[in-house]
Amino acid sequence: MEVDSHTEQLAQQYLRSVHRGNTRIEPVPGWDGARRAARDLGWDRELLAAQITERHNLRRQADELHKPGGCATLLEDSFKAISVAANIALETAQHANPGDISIAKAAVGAFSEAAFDTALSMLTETVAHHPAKLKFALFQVGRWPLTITKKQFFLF
Amino acid sequence: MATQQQVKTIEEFRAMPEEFQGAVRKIVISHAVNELYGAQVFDEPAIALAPDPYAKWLTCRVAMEEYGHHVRFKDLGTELGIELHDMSPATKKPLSIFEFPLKSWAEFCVIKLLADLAEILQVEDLIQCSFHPLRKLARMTMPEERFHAKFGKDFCAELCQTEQGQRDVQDAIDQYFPMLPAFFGRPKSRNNEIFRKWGIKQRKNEEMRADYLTQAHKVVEELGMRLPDLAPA
Repeated sequence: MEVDSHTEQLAQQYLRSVHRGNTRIEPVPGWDGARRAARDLGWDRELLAAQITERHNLRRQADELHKPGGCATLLEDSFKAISVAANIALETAQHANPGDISIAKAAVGAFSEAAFDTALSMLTETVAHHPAKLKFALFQVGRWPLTITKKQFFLF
Repeated sequence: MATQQQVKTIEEFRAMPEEFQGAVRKIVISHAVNELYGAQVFDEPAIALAPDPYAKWLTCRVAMEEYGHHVRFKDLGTELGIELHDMSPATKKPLSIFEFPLKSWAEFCVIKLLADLAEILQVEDLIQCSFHPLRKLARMTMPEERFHAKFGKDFCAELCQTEQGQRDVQDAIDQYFPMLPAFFGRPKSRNNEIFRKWGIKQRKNEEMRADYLTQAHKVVEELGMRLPDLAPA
């Protein structure tokens, strides 16, 4: 199973932004494959830790930039917009895979996480190639960036 | 038995006696505060504790849904004239069940298993609420609360597939469960009496507590676990 050249380019940009440029892109066929990839215990935990640290950093920067009130109201507005999109996506995902609400919710959870990080990065006016924005770009082309292991980047 | 007066709109709410209005506001404030605080102290931190990406993303979705519940109750509160700062954990003390210091994935799974089970009973009690905007909110929230409790059950069941996981889950139950019965309030509570008088809630605190203990026993026994003995109420 192949990915189109535009998606591959986006995926490579994302991988380079998180210093995983040598990782092979592995397209995943089907929801069952997505579940297996999402449960891969060889996932890159260092990357998760770095993403969470970056999320906290972005939040601090955003609060600083949007003094005196901080960015809570702006984030709540983002949250509401993300919720609307996420709930539509959930209905679509459930329709495509009616037997398994959990994998649909996991997909939407991944989308929401990426969207929230992108909202934070926009509030801090980060550069266009910030990892959060590059990851979200994959969702924008209809893909679910799944797990990164030592050698593979699973993409549904 | 007299038919309970139904309050179908915000306008009808404003025409109701202050006792009714105050009772509804208390419930809305409690939900707005505690949905937010629970998401902040349990659901969001649990993202970093998840064992794999699937668990992490499900936790993200759960956190988002809990935060969404806060937003819904907060928006209703605003319509009822409640000030925003009155719906903040900084002003209104959250429930004691959130004082548990979350440290592990097993603890988070047990929290979702048992605390969301308690939440389901509270939300169920609002499904026939005489104040229809609150009834509608409860009906919207219920499927997500059921999913959260199922999340807890499914991941606890996974953990219990190993001996270490069984020990971790049992340990978490032993530490967390004693905090939960207080969630249902005191017997013969004056607040509860007012809620039932106006049909805002249907059940007494002590009935819900007893129901919860029965359901909690059942759900942990299905995992091969047991509930710790509680100090007398």
